[in-house]
Amino acid sequence: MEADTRARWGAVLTLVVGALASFAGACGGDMGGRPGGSYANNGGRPQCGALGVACVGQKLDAPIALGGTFELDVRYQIAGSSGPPTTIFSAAPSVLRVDGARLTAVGQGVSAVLFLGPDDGVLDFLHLWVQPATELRIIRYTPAGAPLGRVQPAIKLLVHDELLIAVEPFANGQPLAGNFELTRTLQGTSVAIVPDSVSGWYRVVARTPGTTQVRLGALGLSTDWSIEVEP
Amino acid sequence: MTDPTRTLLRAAGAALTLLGATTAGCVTELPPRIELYPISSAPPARTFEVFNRDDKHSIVVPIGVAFGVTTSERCTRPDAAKPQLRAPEPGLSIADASILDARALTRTQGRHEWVLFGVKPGRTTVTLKGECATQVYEVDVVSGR
Repeated sequence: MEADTRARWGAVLTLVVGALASFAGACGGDMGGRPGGSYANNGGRPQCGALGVACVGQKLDAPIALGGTFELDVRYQIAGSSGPPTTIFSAAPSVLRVDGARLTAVGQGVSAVLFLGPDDGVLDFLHLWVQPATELRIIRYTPAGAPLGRVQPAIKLLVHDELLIAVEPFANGQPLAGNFELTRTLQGTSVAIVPDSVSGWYRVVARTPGTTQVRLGALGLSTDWSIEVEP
Repeated sequence: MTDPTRTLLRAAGAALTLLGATTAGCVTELPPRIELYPISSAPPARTFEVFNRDDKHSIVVPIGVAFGVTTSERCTRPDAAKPQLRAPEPGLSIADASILDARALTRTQGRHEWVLFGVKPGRTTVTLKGECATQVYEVDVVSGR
């Protein structure tokens, strides 16, 4: 009976839960984390709910960084119906706190996230992990948003060069999901670093010859970056 | 075949029929029973357990882990053997929902499937009440396993 019911529901209901970063536009301040474009373009298989009736449309392929936030975008495809009103519910508030569609990672561990329908019944659920970050990495992207790779701790630019970067958390070599407040301190005036107009990218613009020491901080970690600009 | 032989065979057949009917009557006397069974898996590096033993019914689940359960009920009332057009509607209650909580599954309108999840470490009980049986599960929510 259960298998038939699941199969019928699986055919009728496809719940698409997307994980979207909420960066500068939504949050106002300077934010770090994996840019939203990478979620849509990284080409991995989507994760599905534990009951097999819901899937994650965009990749939820990593733990969320402890102290970070994660915005859930819930979408449904139900034959004969629009998506029902949904409430997101955390099984363990000591691990994940929920405010509307935003999750805040407050404790290390795992917590199920339940998607509740208008009758307060469970449509499906996913388990999400929270992990403390051990390292911040600077990742360079193309103007189209494709990741190019990790930026070296010391680089050289020519005047008028421009880089598109993001500061992303890792734990023991594994990239972490989530967004967080990012601080940046510059010693020197040879470069300017400004948030991009969308997502979590930053534009690094070489302005005048000289050297600038950059310190980027988030989630209780920091990373140093030396940029030398040549004429 | 002679008449005495026919009589002997008829008597043996009657005795076997009586023995079979008596034995069948004994086998069908099973006590009412209702139990929970998991319908989903745990995430990596976490396990939950639902024990359905005659001497003990218990659940062990780590904090933050959720799993779906369905029910199976056996009744011995004469009318329970009749075909039923709808599923039974057992109820599930939790002594301390701050330790273990539950939500009904929408797909069955909460009639007999739920999602259970550990909220914080501790011990509580789940009571499952059906049409003909009640079962209490001892529950341990553990910090991580």
